[in-house]
Amino acid sequence: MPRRKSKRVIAASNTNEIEGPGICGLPTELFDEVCLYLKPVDILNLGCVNRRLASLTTADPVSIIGTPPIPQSMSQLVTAKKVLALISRVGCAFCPTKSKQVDWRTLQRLCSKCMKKRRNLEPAIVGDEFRDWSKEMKESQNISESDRKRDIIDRFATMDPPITEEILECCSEFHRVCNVATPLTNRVFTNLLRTLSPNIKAIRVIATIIECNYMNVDTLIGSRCFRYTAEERAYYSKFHILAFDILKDYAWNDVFPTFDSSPYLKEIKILWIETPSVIDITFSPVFKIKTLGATEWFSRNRQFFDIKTDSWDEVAAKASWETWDTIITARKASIYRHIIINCKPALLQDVPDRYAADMNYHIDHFEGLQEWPLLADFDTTALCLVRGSNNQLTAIAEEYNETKCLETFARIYNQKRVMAVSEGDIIMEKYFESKGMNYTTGFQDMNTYSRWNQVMMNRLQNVTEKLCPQLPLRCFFMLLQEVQGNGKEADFKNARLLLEYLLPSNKSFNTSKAIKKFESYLNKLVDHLSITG
Amino acid sequence: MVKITSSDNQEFTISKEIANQSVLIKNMLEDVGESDDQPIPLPNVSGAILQKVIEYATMHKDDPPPAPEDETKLKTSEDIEERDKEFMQLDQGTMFEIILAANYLDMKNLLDLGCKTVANMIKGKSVEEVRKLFNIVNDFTPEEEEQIRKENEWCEDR
Repeated sequence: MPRRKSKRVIAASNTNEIEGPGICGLPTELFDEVCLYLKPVDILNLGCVNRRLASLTTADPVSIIGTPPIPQSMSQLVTAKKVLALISRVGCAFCPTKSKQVDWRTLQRLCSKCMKKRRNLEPAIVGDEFRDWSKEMKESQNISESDRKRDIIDRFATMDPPITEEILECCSEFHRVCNVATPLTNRVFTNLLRTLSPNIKAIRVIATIIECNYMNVDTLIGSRCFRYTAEERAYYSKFHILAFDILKDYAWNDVFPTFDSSPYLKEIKILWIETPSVIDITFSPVFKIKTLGATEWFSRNRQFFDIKTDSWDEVAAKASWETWDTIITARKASIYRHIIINCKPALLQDVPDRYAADMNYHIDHFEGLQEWPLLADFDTTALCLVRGSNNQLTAIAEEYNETKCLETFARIYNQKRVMAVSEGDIIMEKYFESKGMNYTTGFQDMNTYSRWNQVMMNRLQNVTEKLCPQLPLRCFFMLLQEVQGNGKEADFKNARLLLEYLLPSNKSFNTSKAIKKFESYLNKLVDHLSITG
Repeated sequence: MVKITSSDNQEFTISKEIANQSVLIKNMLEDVGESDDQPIPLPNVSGAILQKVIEYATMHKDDPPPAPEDETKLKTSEDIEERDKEFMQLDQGTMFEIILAANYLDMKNLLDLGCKTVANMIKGKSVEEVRKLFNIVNDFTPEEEEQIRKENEWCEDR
């Protein structure tokens, strides 16, 4: 049996000179079949060609474009032509905006702004039947949204390499762009591509990572990584940083030529900061990542973690790590040795009880260090002097500068020592600095310091009494906090300048001048004081 | 082998796999059984058109069975194979005859190809261009014409 009943209709109106049936001679069902491939606007145009085609296109639109049938009761008011015209027109009924949205309730084409403004418009026809039909029409137009989505997916699929539907579904913007009611022209698609591409890039990168599963990293840290403790996750993220770095160099394709890894790096860094204990993770079987320079070693030997290869060269990686570790240990030991010798353990007597309380803890700690065997000829007490680390230690051999490193270490060490005696008092640090005292000389002379400190405090007091006679005491402590670096001002620049001005080393100090010099800064502080007071 | 005759009594002998592409012939063959070597009459198709239809069926005899129709998939007329495009480069009379024959013989692929080709010819054309293309005379009265013009104001222009 034929698929369709073929009523061969040779219309009377067919004035076709071409031999055979021609388009006007097609039976209704075959004409409808052709219309399935046409846009509403083409069908409307066909209806204007001649009477025969006009009659073919005024049939119920359900057969032509697959929309819900118009109920019999309102077929006089809503014609197929009207429906086609509404779908085909582009202009909003109330403003010059181009719009493809139809408000089926009022049978008008409206842009989204006018749609919002005119929510209260009366329906075009009163009655339940019309209300149900307009709802159905609205839904059937949503199906055209799914067509648009299909169209978008198809276009992405033809790209090289293809962007799959799965990737698109992960894009937060994807569903939004599918619902936009503009025709999907090449120009619109190009814009859409621009909107989606950052999202697509990110998803592709993540997909690549998941796909590769970082096998090498897994091998390196063993199955332990699957336990996913907070530390392990953070540890994992470290390799992701490396991975992103590697991935960023991949040639993607013409549509996505460059990959900007910075947003992902930023995200990872946040995770990183939240779990600082990452450096303490030990990974099996041989390496200890907690040792100084491990990070540096990873970043310089990323070939061992190349996601493109299936397995990692365990022997080479171990050898590389051991060489690196030996160098760093030797460098650290050398610096510590230098500090211990210069500092002289005897100087510890400046602060006799500072380390005594937790000496055992310090000794335990140092005995656990890799440098320990290289420094074992020293008194363990002396070893407690040297704590700290510095990135300069991990410089490559040609760039390693021990003198520079030593200077940095000495400064850090000096500060630590000063902090130890003065409990973080920046004023005391300034005092030792002005006297040229440091870790090699010891920090004696506390009596002189008391007098020096008193001068400074008197100056500060004079300033506050003149500045804020109502609340001199509170003002004094507030300013003291400021100059010690614990103030409310986010920017310590002013506080530092004030401190320098107040220090006894400034011979030209004058109370009135001080207030004038730091007028705006001080006024702001006093204002704050009176508000809170 | 299967014998078929056209409306103008031309006889064609075709292989079974070609014949089976027409659901009409396939069903007939199943009904009459294979022993019958009487030619199958096809009174709705002329010899010239049948010749073209056989040409199409021969071209597609090795095609894999069609995938089940996906109702949700957008109907598109842009996916015509190159060889089919070439095949459809015919005069309009033959083209419409082939569409009718494909419908009668129940050859879905050929019918779809025909409809797509016609749709592609119509797409994006103005009323006047469609008239010219299919050589159609405007038989509207001037009043009707004016009415139509008014109704179609603001339609999408491309």
